Amino acid sequence: MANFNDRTTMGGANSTFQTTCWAKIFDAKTSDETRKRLIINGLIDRYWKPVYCYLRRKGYNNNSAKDLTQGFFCEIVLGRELIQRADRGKALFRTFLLTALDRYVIDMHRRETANKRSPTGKILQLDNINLPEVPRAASDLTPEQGFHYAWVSDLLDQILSEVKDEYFSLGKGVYWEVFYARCVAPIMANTKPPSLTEICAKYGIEERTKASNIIATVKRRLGSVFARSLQRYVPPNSDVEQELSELLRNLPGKGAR
Amino acid sequence: MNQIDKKSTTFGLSPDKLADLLNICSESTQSEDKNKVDITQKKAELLQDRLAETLPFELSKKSLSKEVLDRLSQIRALVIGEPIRNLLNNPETGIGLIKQIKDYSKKLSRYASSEAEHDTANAIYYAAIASALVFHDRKISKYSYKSLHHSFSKLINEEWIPKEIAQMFVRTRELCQQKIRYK
Repeated sequence: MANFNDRTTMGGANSTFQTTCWAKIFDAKTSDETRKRLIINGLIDRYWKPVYCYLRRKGYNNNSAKDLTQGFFCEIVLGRELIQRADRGKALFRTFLLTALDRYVIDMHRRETANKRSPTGKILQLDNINLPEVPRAASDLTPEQGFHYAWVSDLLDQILSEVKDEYFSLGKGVYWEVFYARCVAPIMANTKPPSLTEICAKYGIEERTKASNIIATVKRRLGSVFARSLQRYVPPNSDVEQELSELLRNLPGKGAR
Repeated sequence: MNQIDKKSTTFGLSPDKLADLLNICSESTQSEDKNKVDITQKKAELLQDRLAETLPFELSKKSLSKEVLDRLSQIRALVIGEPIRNLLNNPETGIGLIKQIKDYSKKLSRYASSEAEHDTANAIYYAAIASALVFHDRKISKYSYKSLHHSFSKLINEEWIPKEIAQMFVRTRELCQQKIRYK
């Protein structure tokens, strides 16, 4: 079993008992076919959308991008055992995957094959998935930026959903609603954030200080869940701050600093 | 876990707005006003973190013999990457795996360095016992049903326990009550 760098202090706040993406990848180097397939399917589930968005930004139409996505995962990820060749000490898995994808696209273009790149025994049933259109807001992105855009969007959706569920499961849905109204909704809807006075009136909170504390509490929790989620995708001995800088750098505009 | 509905997905936002959201997520705890994290909140958050974790592979290997591991390998293959929360709430989770979760929580408790760490480990310990009783009608604890009834009654009232676990505790308490009655 991999002796991956588990920086765990038993029961400590920075416990990394959770299985990192890299640990899963290493575990995919197993002769147990059932386990390998399950792990790889999990990774494909996480990365198919960024791959598809990358291809759309490359200029492929919906059907071609779909075929190439399926072809990439089947021929390269599974067929050439890409995951097993990944070196977790060297780079982010995302970077590694993107490099392989880039090469695959170049190779496909070179071959100029007319055959439908839809392998038998599809491992990815994209036919039944409502494939996303690359949004207008992201239409100027390079293919690499498109890949990162889709990846970041999925990550944000996941952690926002997770924190929302947490607060509702604790009977504190109003905490989430207050935070969302003040911090997230204005970004999503491109509107001015409501004032604390307006928040208090809408959600029946006695005073502005309390509303402010609620917002800070949820923000802190979001940060903690975000850090935990991101930790899964960095190689050992890298830190989350570095990964965050990398994510921001790959988003054009304000993000690229 | 519920998915954010289509309206509120971030896919479709401009990259600038995505960056704004990323920055909110990554901000340090600069509160807009002074904010003290109370112990109940700490426990709630720590428990959520623990339940979102997966069972450590090393731990599960050390606690089981090779024979048992081989037999369980098929089950392990199915649950790799599954958060503890999902394992506890799934009737398909085998009793062997539930016992591993119980052992894991005991280890967490042994190394706990705060009240929050100790109490959340305790909650997972009892969640494992509850899961075994509710889904397998098996008592994996040496405590009597009467003692378990008492423990679950206390835990049900803790506001830092998430709803789905609290509901399982309620069901378990009822089962313990039945076992006491029909003894």
